[in-house]
Amino acid sequence: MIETTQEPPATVSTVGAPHPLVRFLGNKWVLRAVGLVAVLAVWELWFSNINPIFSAPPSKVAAKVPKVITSEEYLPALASTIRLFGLGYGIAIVIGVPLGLGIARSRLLDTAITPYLNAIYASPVPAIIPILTAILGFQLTAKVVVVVLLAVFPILINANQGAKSVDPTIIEVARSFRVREARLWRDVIVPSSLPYLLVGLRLGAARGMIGTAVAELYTSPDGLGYLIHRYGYRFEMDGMLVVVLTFTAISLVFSLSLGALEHHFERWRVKSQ
Amino acid sequence: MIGARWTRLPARYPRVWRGIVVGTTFVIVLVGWEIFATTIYGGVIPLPTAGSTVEAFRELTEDGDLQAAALESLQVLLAGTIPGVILGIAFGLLIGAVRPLDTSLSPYLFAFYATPFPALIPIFILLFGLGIVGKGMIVFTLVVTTVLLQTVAGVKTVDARFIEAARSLGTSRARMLIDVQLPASLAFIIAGIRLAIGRALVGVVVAEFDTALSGLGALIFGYAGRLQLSNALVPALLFALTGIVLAIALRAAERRFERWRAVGA
Repeated sequence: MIETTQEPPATVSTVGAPHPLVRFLGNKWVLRAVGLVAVLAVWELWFSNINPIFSAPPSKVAAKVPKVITSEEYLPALASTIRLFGLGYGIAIVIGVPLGLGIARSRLLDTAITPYLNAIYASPVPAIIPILTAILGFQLTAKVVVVVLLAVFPILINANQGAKSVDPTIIEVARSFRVREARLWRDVIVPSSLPYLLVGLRLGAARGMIGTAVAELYTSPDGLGYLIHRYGYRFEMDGMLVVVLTFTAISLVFSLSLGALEHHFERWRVKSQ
Repeated sequence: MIGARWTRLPARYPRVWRGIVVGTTFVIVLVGWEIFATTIYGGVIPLPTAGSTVEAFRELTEDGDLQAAALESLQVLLAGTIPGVILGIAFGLLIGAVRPLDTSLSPYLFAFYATPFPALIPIFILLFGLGIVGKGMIVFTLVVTTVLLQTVAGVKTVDARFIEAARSLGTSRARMLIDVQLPASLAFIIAGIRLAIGRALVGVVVAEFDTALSGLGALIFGYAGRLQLSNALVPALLFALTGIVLAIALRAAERRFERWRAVGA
């Protein structure tokens, strides 16, 4: 159901012609800088051709950054967004990991429940937000529920797949030594599932951020979502983009650090299958 | 499987048993919800139950409201998805095959992909309007980046032996792209389309909340606002069903093309 990490690419070796200039241009960081310039140039050109009210070329956005960041609403909004995300993501982990691992311990439960988990994972959960807010109100509860509902399923499903990937021989051996269930989880199931758990945590964080953005924009505006609306009402496209870039930065921090952890623990993946 | 013995299913007729177990879960959840909604839950707003939802479905389809709204959402979805998939594959092949392009552009494409996209929706609506263009652009952007990045990942992980073999037969770069790298990446591309559609459905529904003018999202928003939750649930379930059916179909296609990835499999 879910994407798992791929094997490292088997790349074709390119036969090099190492002219110094070519080598300089082929340097990873030089290429990235060139790419950045190209992206900014396209952005600048594109925005110079549209209605000047909405105009937000990179130069203007960059100039706006200090103004937005030092405004007195920015830090409280950022704190409120991070609190919402942290709360929802934390609850999703606390529910998702034990439930996902636990379900895999019983064939019956696994057969009974996983099709529904996959189904909910494939459906656009934000579609029920208006129903949730009608029932739960517009306070923090509804927002947290939205974040949890988005983040919990990738965590659950990957934990479940991780537990199913545990080598049955190891479990047999552990059992023949009369290892208790709690010990079995600590020493066998959790470590063996770790690569899968980390995939789930990364995907869950990404979806949790989407949930946070939806909740803050479309329940009752709050946090960074509220700031986006506020700059929007005043047609300050540059301000909106600064806030969006803040969302991007938070999301990248999680995605890159969890990706690095995933890479590190990749060797724990059970190979015998 | 690592389960304890008593929880195992009988070994004979596994499909039949699976069907029974999965069906039983459905009934248990439905009955449990019915009991919760009618007796335990004491809130002011009546919760939707199975019966009231079916009733609401009948009502909405008789009016033709549901069909009209579904058509509007479908138009937005198709208008954004079709060009998004085509351009995503084309640029993905190009970027995946040309190393310097990949190194210079992929980090920024990834950063854009990582942006929680609902935050971008108000910007798209300001730029492109409340109509089909604005919403179509949201879907297009979501689809094109997702498919593009997956295609790049697919092309970069094509088995080196395929490339060596084709090169030793004197294949040109362009032919290699079409005849070797595209088919070998197809499983990845389809996975990209599956992920893209998941994101696009969320994009459509949220954009329709934002404008509250047309489509299934506006229907959900409107009915929930008037506290007619059963009526609001019907279009939401239709969205869910679309997502589930497309995900299952694309997943099957993905498995089918998985075998095109390996030499001598």
